[in-house]
This record gives sequence, C-alpha cells and structure tokens, in this order.
Amino acid sequence: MKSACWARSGRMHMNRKMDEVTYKALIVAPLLILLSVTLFPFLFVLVVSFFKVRSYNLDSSWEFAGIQNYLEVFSDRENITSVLNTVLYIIYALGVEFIIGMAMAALLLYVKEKYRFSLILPFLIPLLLAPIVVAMLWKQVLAYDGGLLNRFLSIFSLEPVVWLSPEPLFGGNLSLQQSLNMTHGFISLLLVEIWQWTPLFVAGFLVSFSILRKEIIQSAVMDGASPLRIFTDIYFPMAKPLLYGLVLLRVMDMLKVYETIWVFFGNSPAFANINIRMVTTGIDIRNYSYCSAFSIVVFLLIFIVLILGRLLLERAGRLYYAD
Amino acid sequence: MQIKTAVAFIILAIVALIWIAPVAWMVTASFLPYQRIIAVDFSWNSLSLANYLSLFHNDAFPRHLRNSLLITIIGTILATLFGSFSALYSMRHRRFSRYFLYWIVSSRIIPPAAFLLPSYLMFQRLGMLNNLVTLVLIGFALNYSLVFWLMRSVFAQIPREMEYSALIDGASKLRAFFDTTIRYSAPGLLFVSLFAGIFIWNEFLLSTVLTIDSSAQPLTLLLGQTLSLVKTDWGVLFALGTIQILPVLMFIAMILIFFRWKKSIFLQITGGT
Repeated sequence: MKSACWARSGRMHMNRKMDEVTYKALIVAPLLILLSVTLFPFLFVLVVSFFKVRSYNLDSSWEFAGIQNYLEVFSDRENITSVLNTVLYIIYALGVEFIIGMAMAALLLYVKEKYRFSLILPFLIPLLLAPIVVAMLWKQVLAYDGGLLNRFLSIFSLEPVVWLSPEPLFGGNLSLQQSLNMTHGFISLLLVEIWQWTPLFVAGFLVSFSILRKEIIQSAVMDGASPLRIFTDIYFPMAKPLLYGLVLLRVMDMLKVYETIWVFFGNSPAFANINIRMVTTGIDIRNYSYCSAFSIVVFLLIFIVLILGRLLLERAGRLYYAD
Repeated sequence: MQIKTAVAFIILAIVALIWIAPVAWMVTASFLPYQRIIAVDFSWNSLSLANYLSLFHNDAFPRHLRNSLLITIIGTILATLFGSFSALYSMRHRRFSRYFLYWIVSSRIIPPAAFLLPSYLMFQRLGMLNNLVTLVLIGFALNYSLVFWLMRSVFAQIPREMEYSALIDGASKLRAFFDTTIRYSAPGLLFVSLFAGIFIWNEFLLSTVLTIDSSAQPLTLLLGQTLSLVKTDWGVLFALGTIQILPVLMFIAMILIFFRWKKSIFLQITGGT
C-alpha cells in the first residue's frame, strides 16, 4: 500500500527524501536538547562525585577523592533524615490518598451519572494549581493566629493548634513519634499533599469502576454476594492495573516535592526532604562534590524503587490477564 | 435506593465544599484588606481591587508577568510541536527503539534536584544564567516527554489509512497529512498543549536556581520572594496567587464547556478508558 502510493513518480521520490530529512530534524533536535539537560548533567555529576570540587577550584585542577564523598554523605545524619522524611512522606500520603480516593469513588457510584461530573469538578481544581500557590495558601490557612483552619475549629469551640511546629502529635512516647515523623508540622505537609492529590485517586478509581458492566454486578447480587464481597472481589480487582500506574506516578511526583516544605519550614533539617537537602548543599553551600555524591545515591535509590515498581506492575498485569 | 442516593449525594456535596473552600477563600480574600483577612471577616462592602492595583503599581510585577507569559507560550509551542512530531514519527517507524522511549519518559521521572546542580553549572558556564532562553529550554525539556506520551495515545486512534485514501483521491502529501491526521487529532493536540502549558506556568524549583533578578524570573518566583519577607501581606499574596491560578481556572471552565459539547475529545485523550 505504502509503496504503491509513493512510487508514482520521481518527484514523489524526491519528496520522500525531503520528508525523511524533515522527520529526522524534527526528532533529532528535541532529543539533543533533552540530552543536554538530562544525560549530560548526569554524567557530569557522576564524574564530580569522585573528585573534590568546590566553587573555588571548579575552573582549576580537581583533586581525586575516590569514594570519600560517598563516605561523607553516608555519615551525615541530616542526609539520612532527609531520605527518611521523603520515604515516610510517600508512605503516609499514598496510604491516606488511596483509602479516601476509594471511599469517594465508591460513594460517587451511588450518585446518578448526570450529577457525577458536577460533583467531581471541585476536586479537579487543586490538581492543576501551582505548588507554590498551594503552599502559600495553606500557610495562611494553617497559621496559628488568624488562620482559616483554627478559625474553623473555634466554631466548634476547639483549642487552636500550632500546625507548623515540630511538636509531636500525641502525648506519651515522644522519641518514637519523632522518629516516625508524627509531628504537627509533618502532618500539615501531608494534609496539603492529600488535599491536592487525592482527587487523582478519586478519578482513577471512578474510571476503573465505571468500566465494569452492570450485568456482572447484577449476577453477583443474584448469587447472593454481600456489597462488601462485591467490592473486594469485583470492583477492587478491576481497579488494580490502573492503580499500580497511578501509584507509580504519584511516587515519582512526590520525589519532586519542594515548594510546600520550603514555604512552611525553609531549609530546616528536621523537615527537609531530598530536594531541599540538595539545594542546600549544592546551590547554597556550594559543596559541589558532596551534592553530586548525594545526587548519585538518591538516583540509585530511585532506580531501585522504579525497578521494583515495574516488577509489581508486570505482576499486576499477569494477574489481570489470568483472571 | 433513593435514600442511599440522596445520602451519598449530600456527603459528597459537603466534602466537595470543604475541598474547594481554601481556593474559594483565596480568591475572595484577594479582594479584602489585610485586617479583614486576618480576622476572617467577610462583608460585601469591604471588597475592593486595592490589592490588584498595588500589584500593578509595583515595579517588579509587570516584568514577572511578562516573563511568565513569554516562557509559557514559547515553551508550550516548542514542546507541542516537537513532542507531537516525535510521537508521530515513533508511531510510524517501527525502527524507533523501545529503549529510546524509556529514555524519553525517564526525563520526566528523575526528580529535578538530581540534575539541578549540573544544569546550574552548565548554564553558568555558558553565560546563560538569568536568561529567558534558558527557562524556555528547561520548560521545553521537562514537558517534551509529557506531550510525546500523551500524543502517542491520541495518534494511535487515527488510522493512517485515512491519509492513504486522501492521497489516492489526489491530495498532495502535505494536504493529506493536514486534512486527516492533524485535523482529527486537533482537539487532543489542543488539550495536551494546554496541559504542558500549565506545567510550564507552574514551574518553580529550576527557575529559582537558574535566575537572579526580575529581568528573567517568572511569576512563581515573585510569589516565593513575597512570601519570605518578614511581614507577609496576605492580601497582595492572594491577589498574586489568584492571577497565577487564573489560567488553570480557565482551563477547567473550558473542560466543562467542551464536556457538554463533545465527549469524544476526552475519550481521545484517555485512550477510551
């Protein structure tokens, strides 16, 4: 078919050559730009992480340091705290978003289809807001004095809460709570995250629930299955493949969180995640080799998580098709 | 069944109200004076445009707005153009390797902090710090892969046979291309480019590192700077925030209008799911 069309005349042949050139230009140019802002920096970081490079000797000779930078990175408690903060953030936020999203989607199924869209619209707005605007807005909402949330609590005559503080959430065992990040400040961060991103899970669950044909549910009801059983055995397995994708997407995006933490707590090491830490060491203190080594360690960690995620995804796919 | 539906509707309506309350508060409070915001005290008489006017009297704001608009518009056009053409190419030429695809998507997966330092050093060496071109390039590079992946699913639903049949009917190659493939993917193309545009418009971290003063900084940075002042004037900040989220609100309004008009657009973007 293709050759029949193109080989009609020599002019066509010329055109085809031109097309090839245009196509190649259109694909090579952007890839070069992409290369210059992704792959080249990565190689640069890899090299720098094995040398001693600070801002003063960037242009002159670099002293080889071996793995000394890496040893420094691993021996610094603040780095470990920042990685832990990031991991705990992902685990807590994902768990809550998953459960609330599922509950909301299940509720939405009860509502008539023509009202569903207008009900889901308010949830779509936070998804696209700039993180810096969200952070600014919530800093005001969570403010101790004159904040919207404390004002709201006072309607029910509840005590105002110091939201943005490193105080532990409950009384009792303080050190355990602190090591699990159960502090007011961290919960505030999670609150913002949950507010902004739960809608994605609502939409994801709703989409995968509404693909399901009514006959299947009806036959399950005929067989005497309880609503809970229908949910766990029919709705949830249906949603699985899409959800693995969504979770992966969220994990990747949560690794990019910067604005909220910066606006709420500045560069405070107690709340710093990997991004804050990298900006502090690399751009503020200008310890280039240290920051590079940390980047490589983080990159390797993410790579491992990605591979695990892919394996999970493939397993989910197999389960899906096996059913 | 009726009662269940009503209960579900009421619960969802309440949750939706709570969900939208902070944004509604921000937009409303941007018209209120500082004292009223702190006291959470709303009245119709106290609404005024004072916060917005003080923004436009400010020296830096118009420049930031101009920078943001330039970066967003040029970056979006570049990302859409190159991203969609690359997507088309990768769909139609099976030689396009799978590993290439993985690499393209990986540029969206790596956290920006990992290539923050080297891109800072690279642009510093090139003398391109505090330059609009740099930010356009960054915006383009971050969103190229997004456009690429979304447009692949749009193009996947347009059979190439349509183009062939146009050719057989005597259309020139270019005409056939524009009258079939581009024409049928236009709604998808529009939405994908708006999506990429919003991501460029919202970018913060890389702009912080790669710019120095208001000659190249986008609007998001003005927000950050105003926030870090000792005394925060929430009225002005909320006005800034409202301007910053205006494109998003317009985008959502557009979705609403389009949804009533033509559902097929959504099916095209989401691949029928």
